[in-house]
Amino acid sequence: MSLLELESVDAAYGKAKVLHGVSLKVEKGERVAILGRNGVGKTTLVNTCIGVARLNGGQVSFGGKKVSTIRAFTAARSGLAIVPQGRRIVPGLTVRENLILGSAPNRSGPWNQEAVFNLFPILRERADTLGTAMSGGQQQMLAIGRALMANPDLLILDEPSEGLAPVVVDELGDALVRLAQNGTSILLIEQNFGLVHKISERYYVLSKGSVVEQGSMRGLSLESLKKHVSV
Amino acid sequence: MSTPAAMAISAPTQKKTAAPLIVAAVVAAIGFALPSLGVPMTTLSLLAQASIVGVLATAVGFLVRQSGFVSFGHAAFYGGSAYLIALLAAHSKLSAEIILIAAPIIVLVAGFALAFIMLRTSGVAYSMLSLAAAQACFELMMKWRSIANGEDGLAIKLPREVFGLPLSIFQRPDSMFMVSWAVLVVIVVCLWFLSRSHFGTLTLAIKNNEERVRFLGYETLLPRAIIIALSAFIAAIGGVLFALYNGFVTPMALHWSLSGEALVIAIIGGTRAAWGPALGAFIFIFLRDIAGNNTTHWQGIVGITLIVVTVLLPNGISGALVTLWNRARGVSNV
Repeated sequence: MSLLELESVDAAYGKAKVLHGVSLKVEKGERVAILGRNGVGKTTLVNTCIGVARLNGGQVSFGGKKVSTIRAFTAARSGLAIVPQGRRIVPGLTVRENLILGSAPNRSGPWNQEAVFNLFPILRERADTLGTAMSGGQQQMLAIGRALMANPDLLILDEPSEGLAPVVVDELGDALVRLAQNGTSILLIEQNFGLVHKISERYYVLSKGSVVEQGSMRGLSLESLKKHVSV
Repeated sequence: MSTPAAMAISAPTQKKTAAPLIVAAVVAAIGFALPSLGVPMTTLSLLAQASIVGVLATAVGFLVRQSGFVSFGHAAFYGGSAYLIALLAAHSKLSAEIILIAAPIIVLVAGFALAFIMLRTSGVAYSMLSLAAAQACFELMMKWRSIANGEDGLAIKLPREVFGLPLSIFQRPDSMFMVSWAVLVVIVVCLWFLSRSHFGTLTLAIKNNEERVRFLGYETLLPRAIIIALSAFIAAIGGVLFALYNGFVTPMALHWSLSGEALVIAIIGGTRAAWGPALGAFIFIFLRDIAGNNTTHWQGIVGITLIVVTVLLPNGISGALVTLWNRARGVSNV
């Protein structure tokens, strides 16, 4: 049984159909990337996984359970954590408070405040700083740390490199590699091929709401990248 | 160990706890010392009124700060508590102490139940629903003469001693100021600690982005309902103080104009700090008194003050004071 499985998923916002027959799988401990240009439906795919976007057809299941039957707050409790696009750090709260907020599901596992501080040492230094007062890269680390506090089975990262300087993306990539080595399953939605290549084992390419290509990272050709993704 | 760069950036934006507590202790002590400093009785009467209205405004400000809801109906909890005391004192055999404790608890339970209806709405709809609910209470007390004596109101029949203290303690401005000031200080300190607790950060996060918080694994309806109920409870405590001080309650204690006044006070004082609405109450009551002594159009002066504060100090007077305090300590405002 796959950890996350989408079978022939059609999704829409109102009358606008965004996803057409998308099928994909993420196995336990696997790191999978979704590649694609802006507007091809990557974030809609994330929203479908967490039951926000309306499912017009097909099925999404997580850990064997249909996602459409999972209420929003039970998704995290069942092991699904999301680092949303734009990070969404809670204004007015410190780094520590933002992290504690992430521990709601009360799931046991290796991730706690100390483990997050070890993964991202800068967060320990800024623990009592307001989260929104940090740089974009540090806020992204905080968003990831907050998601990890839930000890998820699957971590979904929606465009984590967005708006970050290349050097910060590299730093973030190194941390995600360490995270992946711990066995955390990752679904990475990303346009930055460097980051995808560093972290992922398999990929799916999304174009106009459909999966147009998939395979292992080793088999991803430059031609295909140029055609479907910004490089 | 922190790197110098980290310290340079993090220090200005860190939350400090010791200094605000020291300032709060000094302000509280000054308040308690006022009656023994020869302050005139008329001033002490205004201070007592301001402390009582300050409790109501603190309830309104707390709701705005922790949930983002703007209530136009908090007088229902305030006046409702006073009416409950009057009615229970007149029609039940319960002791005065039990009645005074039971009234805000009944309001707390009612506020909690009402919250689940109110939370089906948001924004302007919430404000209108709160206004409608409060006006329904006002009309009920106006029309139900056999029970509530209509617009003539009810005298609150309490024994000569309450909680082992002479009732006159609660009806003399100097001693009642001490009582209501103590209650106000305790409420503000409790709310300050609550805002720094996990529950406080959770409700702040819900206010900012409820959907995101749900995806962090929280059920969000209950915390929001608890905030509304707590706010109702605080307003009801204000109603208890009002009942003790005045010994009389009329439907005007339920009227929307009182809810509006509490909201104006909270805006003038500022809702971002737990103590902002309380400060607003003292400014409002004294401004109203000074303006009322010099012109019959005191409402105009209050209106102009509200406009000036709203335009120039969007975080209220407390927000401006916090900014100045942070600047004086070389701390940036984030």
